[in-house]
Amino acid sequence: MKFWTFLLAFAPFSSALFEEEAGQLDFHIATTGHGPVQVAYAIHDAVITSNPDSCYTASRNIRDGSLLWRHNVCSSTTGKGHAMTVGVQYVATLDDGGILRAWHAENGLLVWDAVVHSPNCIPRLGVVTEKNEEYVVASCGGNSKSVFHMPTGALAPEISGRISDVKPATFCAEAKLLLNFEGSVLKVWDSANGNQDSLAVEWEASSENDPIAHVTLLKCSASVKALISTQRGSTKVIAIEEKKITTLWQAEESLSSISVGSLVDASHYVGGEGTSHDLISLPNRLQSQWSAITSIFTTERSDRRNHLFGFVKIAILMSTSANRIWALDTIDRNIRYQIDLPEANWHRLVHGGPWTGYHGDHGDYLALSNIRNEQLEWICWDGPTGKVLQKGAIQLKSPVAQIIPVETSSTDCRQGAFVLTQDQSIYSIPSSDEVTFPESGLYTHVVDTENSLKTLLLRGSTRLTIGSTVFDGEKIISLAYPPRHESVQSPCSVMGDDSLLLKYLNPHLAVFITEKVSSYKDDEMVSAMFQVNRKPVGATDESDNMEVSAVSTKPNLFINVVDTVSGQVLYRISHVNAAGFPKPQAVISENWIYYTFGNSKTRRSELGVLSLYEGMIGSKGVTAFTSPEHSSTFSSLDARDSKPVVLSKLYSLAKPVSALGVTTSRSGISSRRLLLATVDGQITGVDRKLVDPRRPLGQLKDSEKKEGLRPYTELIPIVPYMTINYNQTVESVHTVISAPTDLESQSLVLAFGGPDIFFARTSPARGFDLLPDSFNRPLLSLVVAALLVTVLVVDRMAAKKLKKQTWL
Amino acid sequence: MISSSKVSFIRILLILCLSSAVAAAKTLEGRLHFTDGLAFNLTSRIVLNHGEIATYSRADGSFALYNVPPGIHQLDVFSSVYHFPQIKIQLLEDESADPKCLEYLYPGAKKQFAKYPLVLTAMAKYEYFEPRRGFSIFSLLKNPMFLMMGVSVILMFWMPKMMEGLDPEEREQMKKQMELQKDPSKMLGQLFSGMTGTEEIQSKKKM
Repeated sequence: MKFWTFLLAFAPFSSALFEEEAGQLDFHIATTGHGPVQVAYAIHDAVITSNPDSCYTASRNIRDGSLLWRHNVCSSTTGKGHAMTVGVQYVATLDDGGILRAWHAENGLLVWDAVVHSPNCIPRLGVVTEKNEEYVVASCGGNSKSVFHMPTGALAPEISGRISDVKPATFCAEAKLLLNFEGSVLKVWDSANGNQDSLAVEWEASSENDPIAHVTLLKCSASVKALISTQRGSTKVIAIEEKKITTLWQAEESLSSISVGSLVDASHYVGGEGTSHDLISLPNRLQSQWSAITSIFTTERSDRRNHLFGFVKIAILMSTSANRIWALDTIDRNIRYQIDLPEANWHRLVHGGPWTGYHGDHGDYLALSNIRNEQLEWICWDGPTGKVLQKGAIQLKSPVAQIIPVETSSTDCRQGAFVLTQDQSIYSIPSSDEVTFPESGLYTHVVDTENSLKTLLLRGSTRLTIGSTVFDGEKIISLAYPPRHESVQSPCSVMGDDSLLLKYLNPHLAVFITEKVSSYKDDEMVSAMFQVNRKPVGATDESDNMEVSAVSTKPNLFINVVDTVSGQVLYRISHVNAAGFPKPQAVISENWIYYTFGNSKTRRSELGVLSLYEGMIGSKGVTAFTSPEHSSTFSSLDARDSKPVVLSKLYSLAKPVSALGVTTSRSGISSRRLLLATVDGQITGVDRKLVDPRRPLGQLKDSEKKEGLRPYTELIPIVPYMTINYNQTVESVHTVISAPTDLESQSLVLAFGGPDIFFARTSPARGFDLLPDSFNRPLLSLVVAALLVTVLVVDRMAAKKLKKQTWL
Repeated sequence: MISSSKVSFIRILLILCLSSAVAAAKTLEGRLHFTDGLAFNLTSRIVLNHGEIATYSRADGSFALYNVPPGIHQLDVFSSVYHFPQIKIQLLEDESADPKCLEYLYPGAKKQFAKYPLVLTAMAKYEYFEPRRGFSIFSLLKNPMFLMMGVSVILMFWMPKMMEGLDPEEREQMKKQMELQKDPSKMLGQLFSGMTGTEEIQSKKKM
């Protein structure tokens, strides 16, 4: 008993992070945000980089590549590019909105800013030194220029001459070296005057698929430092000393443009950085057992724990703009491997199948690349190791309409796909021998021409249209599907009065968010100009034939819950005053649907929650002698049964949301937490009970109190304790994905989309099945040893006393 | 029904109005400071309408939002460290008129008028981490396991002293009861006999 008492006294239980845990259960990868470097300047120990076609300027430490600061310099959401130049101590940026800013190069603080021009500026910048004073010259195209004193921002008299493009420095006079490149090869020339005298070194800076785009000298002395940037966004800083080249650091800037991601389990693989990862073997297991024993006496986390509990995941991240896939190890925080894709119109990442569950998941991935709508190249690889299993290409006769993931019978690549084209042809990947078409057919759907949906049955060579839905006068702006591997612990919810709500669990559900496409009939301003003023009631004569048309606020955003087998709209709800920014988002979890949109009238974000149920069974409905009639099968095609009962509620959020996610757990027992990625760079969890559509408007009944429901309040608070990225900023997140671990209480979350990638391990229902990482094992060992010694000593003392008493 | 020619005319009219609205775009100025009045020297992003127009605060805490069209706007300061109030600004087309500003100290707070140029105060620091409670003896006392253990220890020391104070007859009775407890059937028998009174009758018979 004493043992448990001490154990409980020293074991910390918390719902929020402790400060020392920050960075242990999570990591944050911050890129420069601008993708491939096109402009780079060195100032002291920092390299300032940017890309004129992006809005970001950033500074990295030349020695270790750590990000010092980064700014989005565009002054509006419509901004697309900027110009950047540097002085001795300052960095100047001019965006296409005509706003000029000067930043302190060392710490990124804004020194001054000014309006140079109205929007639609083609920005150009230059730095001029006159009489030992630095001036920045800004132009928005044409002959007009503005000149500002760099340190103070004071407007200076115009300086004659035009701004000439600054070419990157590639010649180091001190070391007599000239740098240039050809393809992916860096060439270092001995050069006295900037000419290519003789080739000193040739160095393969990158792979053939990723040629060099930009080379800049950063430091010119006996030891030369240079920055190399490739077309796909890899940035390297190298040191050239005595004609030997060493890489100081490398960064993947194109991680700022991740379009899709997935988490795959790699807990059964071992291997460190630079080694191939193999499945766990007996020697590995014995080694991990030994390290587990020795870890009892230390507070160090053992790798064994990560593998045992399924914490080791590989994040497969794909960037369509960079045509590249990265595999990010979530424990080491390093890139395990990368795969270069061909340049294509689009790429798709395929994983899973229509019938896979959590335990049946394999680690193979398929990437499809559409090249000019004529050819589809594909590659299949093992997700945890990066080993390419199969690759190929198919010629297309018409554009791709739908991709259906399936499992294959192949021993090489277990991930396959059926590709349905617009002319209703089907192609099998890897091949028709390895991917068998089910005899009963396959239901699929095609989203057509932005506002319609068609559902099909594919059986052999026949293509049967099951249903279609057209959102007339609307445009589809967002789609959400239920997660493939979600575990649902119970098919019903128990209410406070012991009655049951049967969850509507339809795996073929989809949420289509549509917005009204405005026409002149809907134009409120136009209607208002032709509005005939309404006279008060009773003021009109009988002979008056005035047309009365009043301006009414019509809904402009629609949430449609659709069955993708039958094509029918199961539920539809509309909202008025919906704003276009941020883009409405939706996510499905179990039988709940969450969606967010901005309200242009209240200037707030709103969170809509729908919970879908098949029906209800009263508290006396299920007894030892009675049970309600029910069917064990469900058909989407049965219109009578397939429509759910929907409970809905609308809440307000203090901050606008750019992405939604929901935590997942192994068996679905832990309470789920809704994750909101807000536009200010925070990712906050909201407990599901707070957004329950059953929250009553009035006073709580006893049964509702028993259930734990709270009275309805419109505003959902965003609590800093629940912010999983605490004081770090994760900008412009557009996707939040979650994966379960082998422990029920732990859930892994990955957020990406903008210049930052964030990964964290969370405990939505507290770590009830896991000792925390900060658990004091040495203290526990000490206490157990002390108790043993105490028991032995007290035992001896008691025996002595008994002997003494007996003698007496 | 509105004819298409009228619609085209109206559209041209709207474009002309819009261009004049662009010409009437204003600059909104303000200042950030800490509660003690010192300038807020951390460059922070300041946005209108959740990012439609954005700027940064300067090293001295001042900021300016350029090219702001007339209308109602919402101003937020994106800071992961400090909480700033939210401001709703009504910008009129009349260039000489100052913007009308309403301040909301926190989401859901009552609105209050704010002066222009804007002055925003860093009201509080966000607390993201749970403070780790240090060891205190009172936390042990709250633990029910510890309380049970403590009572057991106290009884362990106090029971022998209590036994010493008992009379020899009472001590004998306690010994008998403890022997009975070793045999549950005897204990149950004694309990039932106590309830039915058979023990009393037997003792009377003996007498």
